[in-house]
Amino acid sequence: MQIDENFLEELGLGALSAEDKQKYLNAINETLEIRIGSRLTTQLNEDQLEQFNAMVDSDNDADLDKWLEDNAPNYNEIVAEELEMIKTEIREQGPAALSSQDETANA
Amino acid sequence: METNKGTIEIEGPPAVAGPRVEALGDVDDSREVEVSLSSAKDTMERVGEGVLEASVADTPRETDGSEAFELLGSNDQESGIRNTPETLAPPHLQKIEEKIAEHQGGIAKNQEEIAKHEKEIKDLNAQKEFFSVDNLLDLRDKYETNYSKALDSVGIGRVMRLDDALKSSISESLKANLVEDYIQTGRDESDPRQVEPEVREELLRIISLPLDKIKAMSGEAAAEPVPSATSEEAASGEGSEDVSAETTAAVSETGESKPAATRIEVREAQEAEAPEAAAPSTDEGGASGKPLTDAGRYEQVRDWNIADEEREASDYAPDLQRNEARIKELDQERRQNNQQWFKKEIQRLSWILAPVPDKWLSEGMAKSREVFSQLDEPQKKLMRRLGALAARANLRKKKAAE
Repeated sequence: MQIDENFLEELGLGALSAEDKQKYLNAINETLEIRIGSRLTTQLNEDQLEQFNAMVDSDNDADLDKWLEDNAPNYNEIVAEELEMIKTEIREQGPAALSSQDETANA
Repeated sequence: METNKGTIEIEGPPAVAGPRVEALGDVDDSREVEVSLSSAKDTMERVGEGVLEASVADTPRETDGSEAFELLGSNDQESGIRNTPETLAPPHLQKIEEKIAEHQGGIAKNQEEIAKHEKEIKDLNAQKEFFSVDNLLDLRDKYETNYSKALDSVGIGRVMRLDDALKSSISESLKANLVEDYIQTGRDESDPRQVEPEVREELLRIISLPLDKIKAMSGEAAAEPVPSATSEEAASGEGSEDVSAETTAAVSETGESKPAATRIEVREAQEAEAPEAAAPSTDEGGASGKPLTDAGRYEQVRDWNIADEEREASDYAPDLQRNEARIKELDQERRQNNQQWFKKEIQRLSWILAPVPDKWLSEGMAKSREVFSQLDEPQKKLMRRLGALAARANLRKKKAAE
C-alpha cells in the first residue's frame, strides 16, 4: 500500500494541513522502513547483510527485488503486518491529533 | 468781528439722543452762545475771533458731546463758528469713562449675583428633585430592600420579622382591649391619650403576658359580651356568666352602686377575691411579680424568638445533616472530576506543546524510532535501506498484480 494522502484519508486524517500531512507521511514512512528493516535484519545473517550492503547502491530494482525474494521470502507478510500495525496505532492516535490541531489553531 | 445770528440745526448720529443742536442767540460781542443739545445745556464761550471755547455742564446723558461739537463745527462755514472739540472732550470723556467703569463694576457685581442665584436655583432644583414624592418613595423602597437584605445577610432578618409579627399581634390585642375599655367607660376610642392610668396599667400588664395568653385574652374579649353592666344588672347580680358575676360581687362587697363596671374594676375584684389566681399572670410577666418594663418586654419577646429559632433549628437538624453529607459527596465528586479534568488537560497541553510530528506518533512508533536512534550509523543505514527496499518491492509487486 502506498503511504500517501489517501492513506491518511483512510485513517481519518484528511483534515490535517498539507504541511502536517507531509510531515506525518514522512514520519510514517520512516517508521515503517525502520520496523520492516529491523525485522528483516534479525532474520538475515552477516553474509546476507554484507551482500545486501554491496548491492544496495545499485539502481537495478529488479536485482534488488530478486535478492529480497531469495533472502527474505516473507518480506511481503512483514510489510503487511507492520503496515497494519501502524494503521491501528494511528487510528487510535488520529482523532487526538486532529482535535489537538484544532485547539492549537484556535488558541 | 463776525456776527453770527440765527439757528443752526444739526442732526447727529442715531446713538445721540435727540441729535439736534441749536445755537441760539447773538454771539456778536456777548461772547456767549447757548447750545441746546437734547435735554442738556452746554455753554460755549467765544474766546477769540471765530473761536469758541466750550464747557460742558450738566451732561448726564447718553449723548456724546464731542460728536455734537464736531457736527456743529461742520457748519462752520455757514455759522462762522469755529469750535475746538478737544477742549470739550477730555472732561466729558473722562466722565463717560468713569460712568462706563462704574457700569462695568456694576455689571461684574450683577454677574456675580446672577451666578450666585443660578447656583442657588440649581441647588434648590436638586433639592426639589431629591425631595420629590417619587424619589422619596424610591429611596424608601431601596432602603427597605437594602435593610432587609442586610438583616437577612447576618441571619437576623427572620427573627426581626417574627418580632414584627409579634408586635403586630400584641398591638391588635391592645387595640381590642382599648376599644373594649372605651366602650365600657364611654370614652372616645379615637383619642388614646384619654386612657386612664388604671387602664394603661392593665394594658401594660397584658402586654407582658406570653403571646398565647394575650391571644387568648383577645379572643375572650371579642367573644365576651361587653360588660356594660347597668346599675340594674349590677344591683341584681345579673349579667354574663364570668365577668358580670364578678362585677356584681365587687359591687356587692363595696356596697356601692356604680353606673358601669369597667374591666379594670372587674379584674381588681378578681384579684381581691382570688389573689392566688391573679398572681401567675404577673409572675409570668416578670420575676418580681410587677408589670414588666418596656425593656423587660423586649427581652421577653427576644427570648421567645430565640427559643423559636432553637426549636426550628432542632427540627431542621436531620435535614441539615443529610444536606451536609450530600455536600461532602458532591465535594468529593467535584474533586475527582477536577483531578480527571486536570489529568486530561495536562495530557492535552503536553500533546499541544510537543513538536510536530513526534506528538502524533504512537507509543510503539516512538519506541521503534528511539531504538533505531541508538544504533550506529552503518546499521541505521542498512536497516533503513532494507526496510525501504522491502516496502518498495511490496508496492511494486502489488501494482504489478493489479
